[in-house]
Amino acid sequence: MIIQTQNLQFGFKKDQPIIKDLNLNVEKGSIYGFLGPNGAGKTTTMRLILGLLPNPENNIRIFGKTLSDNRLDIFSRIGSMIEIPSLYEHLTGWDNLEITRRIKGVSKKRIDETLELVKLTHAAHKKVKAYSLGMKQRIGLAVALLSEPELLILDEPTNGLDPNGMIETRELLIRLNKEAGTTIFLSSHLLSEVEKMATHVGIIHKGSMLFQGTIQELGTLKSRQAMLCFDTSNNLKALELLNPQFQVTLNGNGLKTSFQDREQAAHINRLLVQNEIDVYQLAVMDNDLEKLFLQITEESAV
Amino acid sequence: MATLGTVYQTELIKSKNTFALWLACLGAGFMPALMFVVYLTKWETFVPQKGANSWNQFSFANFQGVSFFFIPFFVVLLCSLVMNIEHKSNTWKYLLTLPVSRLSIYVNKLSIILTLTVLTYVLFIVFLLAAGVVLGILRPKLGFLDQTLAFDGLLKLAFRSFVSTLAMLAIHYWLSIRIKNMIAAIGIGLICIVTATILFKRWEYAIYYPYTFTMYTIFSSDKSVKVLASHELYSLGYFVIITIAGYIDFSRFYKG
Repeated sequence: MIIQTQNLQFGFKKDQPIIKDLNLNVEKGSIYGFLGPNGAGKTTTMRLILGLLPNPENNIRIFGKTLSDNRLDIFSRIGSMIEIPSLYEHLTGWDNLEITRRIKGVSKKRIDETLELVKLTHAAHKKVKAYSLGMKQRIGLAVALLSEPELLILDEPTNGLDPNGMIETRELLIRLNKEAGTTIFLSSHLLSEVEKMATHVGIIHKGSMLFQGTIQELGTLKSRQAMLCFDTSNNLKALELLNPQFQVTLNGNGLKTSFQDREQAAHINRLLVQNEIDVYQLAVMDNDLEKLFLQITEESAV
Repeated sequence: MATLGTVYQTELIKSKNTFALWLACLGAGFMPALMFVVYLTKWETFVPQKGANSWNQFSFANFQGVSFFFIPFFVVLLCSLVMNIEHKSNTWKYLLTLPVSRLSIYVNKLSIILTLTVLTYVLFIVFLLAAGVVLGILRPKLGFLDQTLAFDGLLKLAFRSFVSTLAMLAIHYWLSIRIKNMIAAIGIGLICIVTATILFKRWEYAIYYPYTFTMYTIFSSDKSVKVLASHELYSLGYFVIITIAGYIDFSRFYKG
């Protein structure tokens, strides 16, 4: 495991936790997409991992070590970009890289290589102040990539990029992962984007991890979790009738059971009609996770 | 792993194109330029009497001019501007995740502020001498070209004045790390400086109040102070204690 947290907790106030019992596992060589709507706690988790928020529990391990005792060693192996890129806007793009280069002790030619990688060679000697949002995002990425780190921690790396820039960044990250074996932990609020590059996914909502697993496991999740909701002329009779076969429960004024497939819905409908119960409504309802999926996918359409 | 020297160099890179750097130059030139204009236009009143030395009077007038409000405000402003480089760029979170110890960050930032302060004092003396020479050429009766300057006395005064700023510098270095809003940090500084000008020589304990130290230095400049006056020793003491306390706070509690 490259990053591992155990029951990670965080809150500015005791009774209002922002992160609840988070168990994060980022495997070596993976591209881990950390997915959740805005305000779910993605950035907070990343800040905690990087020691930018207090964590007295000390239950975060990076490269198998805790940050408190191995700060310099861990940081020399990480490249990160949290929220908006941290850039000295009064300096040129080149100077920004030079600062990191000196501190990380990287060779000078890496600056040219990295600028080439993010396609900013032409703007190297312009002040960052004059950069567009997309260019700032790319120079921020360059700062993170400069030292060829083993682990990249990127918060919304394609934020502010145009569609072309998004594709280029995605391809760059996939290439780094394949060729250099770089482990990439990145956050996003777009399912569509994560699906295109991640090998692993973690979904966070209101500070809790709703799902964690491979991208394939994610695909099989949706059908299992939906509910079948229906309303009839005689719900009590319907409950009695269906219960030996299906786990039916009262749901407000109606009934519900876990949704398996379309045939199940047809079967329930037939049973009810044959027993002279009128069916007013029969629908597959999304569960919370699915609503969350919708939220994540809808936002990607905008 | 970065050495202390490397981090200092990166701090120098960061000060490029900043107002902090300009402040060091402009701040140094302001009072000599002002005094130059006053001497040039009202030169008759400054023609030295027998036995008096124009250089000593001119340099004393300059030092007196800067000691009461100018230097304290300069220190407050400089600390805020240097630390604002990180606040404004939102780069604390980047700086604190580089493989550099907190001690190194803290020491090197402080070193940059001290470097700029020393630079300002050096430039101040250079501008002061240049202004005197030009005055000597333009207004020969002022006698700048005929007399010699007691240079060691001037250097000693500059050194003592620098030492007297250290207490304020340590306070505002810490404040400027902690207070992200530069205007708030400067506001606190202004209130403290105004308080100092009110308390100076009116309250017996004002000599323990850091913001009066540069005033006490110029006030005791003609007395026989061997190396440092007592309030300058307090300044050093405050500097050491506050710098250490600030470091403990920065290393344990500051999260960017």
